[in-house]
Amino acid sequence: MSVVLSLRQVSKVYGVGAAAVHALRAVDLDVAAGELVAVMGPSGSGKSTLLTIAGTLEEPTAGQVTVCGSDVSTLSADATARLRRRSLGFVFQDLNLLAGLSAVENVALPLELDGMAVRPARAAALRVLDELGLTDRAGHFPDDLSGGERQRVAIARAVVGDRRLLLADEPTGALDAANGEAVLRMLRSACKRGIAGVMVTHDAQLASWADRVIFIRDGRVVDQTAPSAGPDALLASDPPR
Amino acid sequence: MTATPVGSRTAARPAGGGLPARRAVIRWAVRLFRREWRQQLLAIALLTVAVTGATFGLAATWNLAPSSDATFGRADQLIRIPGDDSAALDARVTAARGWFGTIDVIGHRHVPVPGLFDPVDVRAQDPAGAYGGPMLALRQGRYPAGPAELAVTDGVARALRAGLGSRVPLGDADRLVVGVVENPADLHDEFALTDPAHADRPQSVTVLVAGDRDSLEAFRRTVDGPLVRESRPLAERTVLTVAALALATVGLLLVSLVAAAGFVVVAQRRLRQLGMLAAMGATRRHLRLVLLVNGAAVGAVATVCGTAVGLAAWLIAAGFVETAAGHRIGRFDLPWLTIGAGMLLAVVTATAAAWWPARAVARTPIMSALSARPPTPPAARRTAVTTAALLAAGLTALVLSDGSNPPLIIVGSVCTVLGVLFVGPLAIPALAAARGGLPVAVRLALADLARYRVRAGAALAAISLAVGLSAAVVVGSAAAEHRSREAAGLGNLADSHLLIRIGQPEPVIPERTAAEMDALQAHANTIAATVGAATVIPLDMAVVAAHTDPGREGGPTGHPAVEIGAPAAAGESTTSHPLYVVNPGLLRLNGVAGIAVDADTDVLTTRTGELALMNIPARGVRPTVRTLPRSGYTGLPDSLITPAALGRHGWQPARVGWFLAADHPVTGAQLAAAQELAAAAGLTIESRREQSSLTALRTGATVAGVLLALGVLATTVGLIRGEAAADLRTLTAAGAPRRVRRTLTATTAGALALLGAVLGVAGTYLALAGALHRDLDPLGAVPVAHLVAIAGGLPLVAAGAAWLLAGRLPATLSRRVLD
Repeated sequence: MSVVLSLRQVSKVYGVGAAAVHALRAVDLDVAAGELVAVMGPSGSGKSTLLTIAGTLEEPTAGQVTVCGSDVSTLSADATARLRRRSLGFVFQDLNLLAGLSAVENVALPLELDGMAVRPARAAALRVLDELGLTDRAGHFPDDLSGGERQRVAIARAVVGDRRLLLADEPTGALDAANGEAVLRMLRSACKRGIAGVMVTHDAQLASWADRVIFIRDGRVVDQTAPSAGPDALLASDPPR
Repeated sequence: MTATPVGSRTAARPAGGGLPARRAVIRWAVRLFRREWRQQLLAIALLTVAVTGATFGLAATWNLAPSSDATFGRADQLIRIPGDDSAALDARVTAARGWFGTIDVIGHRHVPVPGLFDPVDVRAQDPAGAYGGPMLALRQGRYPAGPAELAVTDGVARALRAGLGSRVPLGDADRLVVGVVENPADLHDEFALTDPAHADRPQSVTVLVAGDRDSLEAFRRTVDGPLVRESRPLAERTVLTVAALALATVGLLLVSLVAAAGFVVVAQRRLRQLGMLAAMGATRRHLRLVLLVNGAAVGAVATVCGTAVGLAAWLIAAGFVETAAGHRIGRFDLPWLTIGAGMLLAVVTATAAAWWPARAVARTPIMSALSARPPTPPAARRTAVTTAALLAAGLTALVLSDGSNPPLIIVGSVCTVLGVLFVGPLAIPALAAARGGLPVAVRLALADLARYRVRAGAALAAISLAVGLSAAVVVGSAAAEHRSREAAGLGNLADSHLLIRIGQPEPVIPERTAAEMDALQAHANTIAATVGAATVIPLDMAVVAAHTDPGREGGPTGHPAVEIGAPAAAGESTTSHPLYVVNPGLLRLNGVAGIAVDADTDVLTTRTGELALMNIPARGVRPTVRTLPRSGYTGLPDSLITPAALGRHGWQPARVGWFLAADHPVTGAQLAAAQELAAAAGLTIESRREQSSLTALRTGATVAGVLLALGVLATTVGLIRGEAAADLRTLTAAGAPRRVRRTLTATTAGALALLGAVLGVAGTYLALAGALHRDLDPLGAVPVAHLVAIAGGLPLVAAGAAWLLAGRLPATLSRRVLD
């Protein structure tokens, strides 16, 4: 399988001099298509920084980030934005949907930003929402959706179109167990159809859904492991009702 | 889940998203505006008021301007032909008809009416004339159609005490009033209308013709003798309306600056959502578009509301405007194109006001936007250098302008204003640094101001600008008033003084018989008794009896009166002053009672410099002058010629009036009675003229500046306190009472208002001192009350209002709102 995300000797330092904080130190990471990687570590270890650098939301202080074959450091601001809307999908912990747009409009937005006309974008968004069982919530606005529904709509938006890398920062942090599991099931399912996924989490049980778990401490990758049960075993269990 | 079949078309899409992306962004921005318009109510209200004012102002200016239709009707040119030679009159009218084709002839006779000072203009005009239509309208009855019929304007009807159906004596015959007419383009045009077919021989004729000035001049060359002709002036209303639009533009720009502070707030509120949009792949252009659309939406709503309110106000007030303008007004005869331009301008300025916040937000790093972290302020040293450079450039330009070079004044003012605005971000941390020892709530509020100083700086700039503009009007008007008062002294006369003149004040004095002078003296005495004047000083001027001059502007012939003035260089105009013959009363009036005057002294005067006698046959006669002390009044007879000088030159004294001095201020009723007596006797009276005061202007500017500043505070203080809601939550959890919440908000508002007031006033004085550096005296007239109201009242009102409004526990304290 091809590598979708590649980090080579990536470091990130915030501040200068005595106030400098080393969020990441020479991190190497490859994520292949169809692979779901969980990133774990204590607070302040650099998990979210890793995700934002992988998602081109921040630039590394040093090192090389390659997304879908493109060296991010060589891209212009507009090209980076194009890469984000065509190849990357984000799911954050709480802030995910744009108020003022309905669920289907939120999902269709990345496609429209990329130049797709309203009708086909909407049709594509409706297909994804249908696959996630959210057809009846398509016309609702974020204010009218529950926390779990918002996250599921966010995942729909993150995978709509031709996305190749899905980045999720504590996607279940604000959800109850049942909704959290449903969200993880969707992430897992997206990866099964070829999308590479990186998920930051505190929860070891949620991390067990991943193909690989990376442990970060003080900005360094200190360990990598695969869950013993394996994700497919978890997928075999009944979905939450 | 299956792959969506969209990837194959990805490469064909425009790189920046093209029209679909812009449409999606605009849709979202409009939805946000619909959701959150209440948060922008202040900006909408301010812009609405500005557009209302602009619309009403444009409508009123367009309709207030005098219309040349009053004299020209629909014609382009007019010719006035005297009627004293009826054959020549007929020949010229025939020639005009032959030259121009269609013409409209209006005959005039000025008929004296017993009991009326002015004769009545009896006009022979065809109501269906080719060009005179706009000059004539029937209000009641019908147009005259026979030799004994007449229509009158309401003013003439009042003067003649005539109504429809009554007969009035006019000239040598009685005529029946059959209608009430008017000149719709000039309601002050009073006349009586007769049927041109049965009119008496006119004393003069106005011929209205079409065609350009060249055609008129060509016609003039075919006519023997003089021909009075006029061309329709340029459309003055268009010029005035464009000037009004320019004024409205300035107003809209100022309001937009305040609106910009509101847009900064909106941008900050939407920062996280904009960060989310950027994370989805929106470009900077898309992010800017969100806020620009918001600005345009605010402008559009304000424009629609403001135009509607302005037009409604116009329809209500049009009747009053008609009375003030003195001509009929078509309610919908409005400068629609200019109003449209004003509407467009309002939308454009609102959009432009959103540009800077939009640019700033688009440049915010995505992670900073997603976490809604306050933007990093620019380095203080860089700001300080920029500030110093702007202030230095501004003051240099103002000093070099000498107060009289418009381009330098504009450049200097703009640089100084920008420099003062840049001081804000430096002043906020300085104020915060001085918080040690203050109560905890005050310390926290000041620290938050420094922490969010980019946003607070924008608010402070808007407040400083509002206060600065207000202070500029206040200080500038006080300086102008000081200067004009210095020039005018205490005014023309004291309120207990009256100056009676025989006829108009002219340098040609007609000869009068002793009987006429006795009668005039009796009238002057009556006037003196009417106002209770204790002193009556006769005023004589020296006249050159050997010469006779024609009167000025048709006045009677007489002898030139000697005057005094400073000889002017070639090409300059001369100012001369009347010279009265010395008498004991005038010496007393000038504060030199009983002084001994040398025999060789010609003139006693308060005037200084190189003086010469004027209005005499000889030129350059330099008198021997003795200087009198200045009284401060400009209208007193303070230039006196001695009897010895009269004797030396062979001039004669001639009575020209009397100076009355009462021992009490002359009341309005006494003055009115005196003026009535004077008018009946052919005398004129000069009394104290009230000196104009700009206090109302200063008060208006103060109130407007304070209100604008409070508006800015209303939009920004809530945001700054909202940003610090987490601190407030902690404080509340720690048991801080409601008083702490109030103190936090009051300190934030009060500190911003105080800094804005100080910077605004200081900037104003700095700019004015630069422009007036050669003569700083006018700036010594400090409008203390108004400046105290600005510098002291604004912070107090801001802090007080914030204290009162901050009592309620904010919703964000207990729960976080959905972004």
